Amino acid sequence: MKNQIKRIFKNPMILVFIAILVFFTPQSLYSPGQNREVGVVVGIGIDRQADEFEVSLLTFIPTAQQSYEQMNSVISGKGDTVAKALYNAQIAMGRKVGLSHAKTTVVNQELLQNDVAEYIDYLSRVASLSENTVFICTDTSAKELLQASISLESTVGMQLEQIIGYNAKNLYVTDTSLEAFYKGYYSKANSSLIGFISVECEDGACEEGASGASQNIGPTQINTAGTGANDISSGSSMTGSSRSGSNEGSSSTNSVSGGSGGGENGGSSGGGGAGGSGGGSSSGGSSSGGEKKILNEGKAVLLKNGKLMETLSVDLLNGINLLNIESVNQIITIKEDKEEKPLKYSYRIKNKRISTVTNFENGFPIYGAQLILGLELVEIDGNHENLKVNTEFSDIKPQVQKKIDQNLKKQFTDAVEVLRKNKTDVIGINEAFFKAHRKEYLHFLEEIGGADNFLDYVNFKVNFVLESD
Amino acid sequence: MSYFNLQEKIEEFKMLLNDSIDFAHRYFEKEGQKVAMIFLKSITDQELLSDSIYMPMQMYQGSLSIENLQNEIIKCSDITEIEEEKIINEILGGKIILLTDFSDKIIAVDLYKFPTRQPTEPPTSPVIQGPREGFVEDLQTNITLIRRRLKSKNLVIKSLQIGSQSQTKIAVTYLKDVANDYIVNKVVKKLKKIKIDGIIDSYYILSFLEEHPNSLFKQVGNAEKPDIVTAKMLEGKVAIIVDNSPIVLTVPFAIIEDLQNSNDYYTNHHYSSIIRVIRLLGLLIAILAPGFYLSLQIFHYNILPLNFLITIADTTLGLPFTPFIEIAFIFLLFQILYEVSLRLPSYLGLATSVVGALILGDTGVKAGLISPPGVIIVALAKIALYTVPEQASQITVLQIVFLILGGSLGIMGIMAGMVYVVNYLNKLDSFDTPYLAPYSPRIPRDLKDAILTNSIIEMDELPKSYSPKKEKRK
Amino acid sequence: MKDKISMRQAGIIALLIIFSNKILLLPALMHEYIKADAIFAIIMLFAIEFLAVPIFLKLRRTFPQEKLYDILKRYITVFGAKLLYLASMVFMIFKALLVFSIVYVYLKEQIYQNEFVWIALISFIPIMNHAVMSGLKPTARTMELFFGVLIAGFVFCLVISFFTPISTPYFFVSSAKDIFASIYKYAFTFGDSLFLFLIIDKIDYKPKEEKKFYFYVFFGMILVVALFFLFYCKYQLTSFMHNNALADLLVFSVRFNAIGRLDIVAMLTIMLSSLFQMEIFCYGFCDSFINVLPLDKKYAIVLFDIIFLILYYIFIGKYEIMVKSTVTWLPVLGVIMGYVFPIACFIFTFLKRRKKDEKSD
Repeated sequence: MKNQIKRIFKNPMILVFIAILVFFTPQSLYSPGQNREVGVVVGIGIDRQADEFEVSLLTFIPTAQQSYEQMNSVISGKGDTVAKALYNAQIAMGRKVGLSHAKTTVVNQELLQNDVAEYIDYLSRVASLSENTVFICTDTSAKELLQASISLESTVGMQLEQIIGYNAKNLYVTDTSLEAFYKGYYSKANSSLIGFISVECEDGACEEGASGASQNIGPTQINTAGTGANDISSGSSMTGSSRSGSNEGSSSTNSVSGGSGGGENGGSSGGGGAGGSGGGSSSGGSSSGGEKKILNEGKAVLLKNGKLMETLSVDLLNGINLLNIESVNQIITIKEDKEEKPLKYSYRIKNKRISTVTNFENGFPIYGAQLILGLELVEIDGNHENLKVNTEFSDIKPQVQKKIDQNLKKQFTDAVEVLRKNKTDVIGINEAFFKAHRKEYLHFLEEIGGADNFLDYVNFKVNFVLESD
Repeated sequence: MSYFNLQEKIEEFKMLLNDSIDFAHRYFEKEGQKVAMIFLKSITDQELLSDSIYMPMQMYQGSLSIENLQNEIIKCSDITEIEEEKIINEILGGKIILLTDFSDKIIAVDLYKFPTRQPTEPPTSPVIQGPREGFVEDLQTNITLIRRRLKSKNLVIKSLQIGSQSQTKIAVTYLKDVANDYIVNKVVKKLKKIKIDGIIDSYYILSFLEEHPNSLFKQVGNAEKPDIVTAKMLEGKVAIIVDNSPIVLTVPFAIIEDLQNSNDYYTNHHYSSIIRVIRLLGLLIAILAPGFYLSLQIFHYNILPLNFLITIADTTLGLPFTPFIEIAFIFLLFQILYEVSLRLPSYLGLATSVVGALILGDTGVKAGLISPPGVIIVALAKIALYTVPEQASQITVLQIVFLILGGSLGIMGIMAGMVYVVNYLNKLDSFDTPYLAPYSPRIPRDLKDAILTNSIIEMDELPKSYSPKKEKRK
Repeated sequence: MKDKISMRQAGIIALLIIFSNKILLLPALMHEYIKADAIFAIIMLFAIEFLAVPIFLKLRRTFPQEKLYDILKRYITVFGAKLLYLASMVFMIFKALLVFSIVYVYLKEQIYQNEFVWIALISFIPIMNHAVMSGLKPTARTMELFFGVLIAGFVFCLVISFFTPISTPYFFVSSAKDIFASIYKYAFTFGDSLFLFLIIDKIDYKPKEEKKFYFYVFFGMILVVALFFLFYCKYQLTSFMHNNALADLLVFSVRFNAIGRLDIVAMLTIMLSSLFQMEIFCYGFCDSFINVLPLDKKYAIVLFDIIFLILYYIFIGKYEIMVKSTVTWLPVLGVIMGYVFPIACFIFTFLKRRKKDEKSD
């Protein structure tokens, strides 16, 4: 025994191990594991209403053998600042907020009235929200969007970020993440482009029902039906009670949505579940103002210095991205001029080749681009006879070609107009000139007083070459 | 004249051997000449005694002399003349002592025989294709098995006897043109220094051979098959065969040896490389998986992919234990099951594995005592342990250490522990061979037969790690 | 041969100290100051540092088997040598502290999410101490074993960053004056070649293997420059926001966390390399100490631990002070130890040759 103790003291590393056993292990033995101490947030929404902020957290709450929507709920807190609101949301949740798994950050339009970077800075810098989270904007309330995303996933198995991922790849042709936002924010024209998803009501009768909409736990929640009190020991009812408990304890500014009390869903039909709508609105006796649905119109918003400038439609986005080589698959539809039986041709841009030239002529910037577009005829609409095989239409007739050319040019001009109007250069024209003609560019900026107005002076010479594919 | 009073002598030896029941003697008298045979009937072949000593003496026409006995009469190859003081030792070694009244010389005839088993395939290192012979408990047989594979004049078999009570025979074997003299001398010196009453198995002398006997890590190689030992001797290692033990020890030892398996050499070398990589992964998984999983649960939930986190959170929701206690509990359960199944007869062993796998695992999960991910992680670690069965005991200790480190300090603790263990191993040079050779230090020549292995044709050089006398395998 | 390390191991040590302090915070700090032109600054800093390598090898050839202390004693007296070793002690401990605080902040943000001072201290300090106690040979061998893993992790981080769109950053946006100012400002994060001089007598020098040594030094520098370049390519204008360069190269490569947290590779690489770097600096400190005061290395270790803890206590939670000191007074030390010192060594070799010439005359 004595020898063994001597041996231990001879090897200091054994002493270190004993120190670990004495000082660190007991604490770990009692530690319940982080997943029980931390509320794993998968989406975060920030709303601003007048001077008040509301932070909503789409939180994953573990429930044994329950469906997706019962595992997720939106918990929110209000406060004068984002930090305070997040703090209140944390109180409402009764757990530490863990933002490292957050995949989506949603803000409402009102928040974008001021520089949004100021608000999200807190989240990314202090609250360790990863900068590769999707960053999007919504029209009314971020909270509603998050709530709607729950039923979206439970019914059609799709996640919000998948929709945004599609948009980002095909429509925005740029990432719509916090990082992408910051990149634009710190670019020469301080302008960025982020995704836009709206929420619409099922029956068009959405009122003030933010909390009501949050009750759309859906018809699958059968087990709590009619019980009222959360006496069933399922995870879902436990969470319900814990959340309402913490709500009572917190300040009055906290509003806990979700609240999956059985009573509110007492009248749920118990069937359904198919289709995109979910059917939570049928819950009896709740204050629900109708089911909220995610509406993706492929829109995006233009930000300048972190402030909202304009919402862009798909057409405008396509126009903006004409000069982007990765933007393909766009459908161009033109109508024949014939008076009788005019045909409508739909062409898809199958591939794209672009060559650009930047130059200063007489001291003014000129941006020349030649786009070679490979077009594929995808549809002919109208009464046409003897149409057997599409291939006979594969050659683009000169008049059609002219129409397409006009169409594209208009699209591009419209887009540039919008960018000019808002002084937002999201297509990197400033950077292109800076790269190629740094001296002239900087000199020119001095003359015009900054990069904001640069786009106004750029003369675009865009030439389209159409090829049938 | 009478040199020995045979009656007296027999009585004397009988007393010296404590009047043991297996003590036996026989007289032979012919024409007034007396011969006494003393032996222990438990370890001598009495049939042979009759056939090769007794009968020939009877048949012999002429007077008996010691020379006649040695050269003509006794039909046995191992006949030696011995000193009187060695008689007891020789009797105990299974020899028959011949005392005569017509000469002062004493003859010992080796008719050693004891129950021995056939060189069957050992349970620990079976091969799919390849030699199936394994060592047995008999030293002579084991030497035969090696000699059969190395018909070389350079094969040296040195004999030693250790153990004040057991007098166990130990054979130090090596190839004198390959093995480094420094290593051979050191081994012999170490063996000669051993002061012990008895050696029951080769593991008794293992600690004496190790340069750091208190270390957790083994520093002497062991093998149960003659083909493995022969291959090791060809690399310049020294083999130590202990009587009564089917385990042959080899020095020097590097940890890479345990990642190598005789199967690897009897199959395609590309395949062997893959298998060795898997073995290495198995080793790492076995050591680190439980600790790493625990560290993720207690400290780093944010590293886990969301879907896995959801699974863990869901399955651990209703558990009465904290993650640390849960994993420790499952670990203990597995260890108990392992011990039980090892000790029980095979028909009961099957029953315990059913009880262990189905009842304890499945029902434990259903009863909400343990979580499925926890069971999987510990089971994975426990199974992975047997990718390198030679290191099983060390790995089990390391598993516990890393479990505590991971649970108490998180990933940082595991990394620090790893660096410490490797640093420690790097100090464990056994007979001047780096423990982690050929990777640390890197010995390019030896990399041909390391984790990734080459074909036998390319392994034309002897591994430098074991400092052999010559470089090429010729 | 005993207790000597091979040229390969010395090369690996050189590579590891090239990584120190440079793979996490430095790219962001330098970007804030001189944008992507930071690459030119580090290339210049490396160019100067690289010069130390031939000087080191020359010194080894000129004074075979001789300790650095004995060489110094001969030329700058005992007092001068001791003073230099004292400065080396300060240099080493601050380097270790800098590595520790940067890694601590990184690990706190990325994986522990809470303060974990005690965990960090009990993980790092015993390992550093053990490395010193067990001597340079096992420590160098350990580094050699993990070297492959470490480089694989590092290269993985670099390669995976190609999976996201990257474009060349804008160079020449800062003035030459700013670039040179930044070279001085961040001098402390360089100049690690000093350690090689400290262990000059412990290297089993083989003239044939000089190439190998050069290779590792060059490889390390290339990797760091590549990291800087790819990091700036990837983040462009927002580079200054990303304080963990190596790890952040991975973070954005995984869209919507589809594959899970790939950055664990970076985490492990960073943890390993920082553990080794701290071992090296602790060894450097203790080695210097036993030259200043001829005591057992146990005392050196105890002293290191005490000073380390005191300094850490002073800087605890005041990360900015640490970073600030690295750009205010520590560069002076960095320049002296990292740049002036090798030049002095070069002069010694020159002097020795002259003496030889005189003798032969």
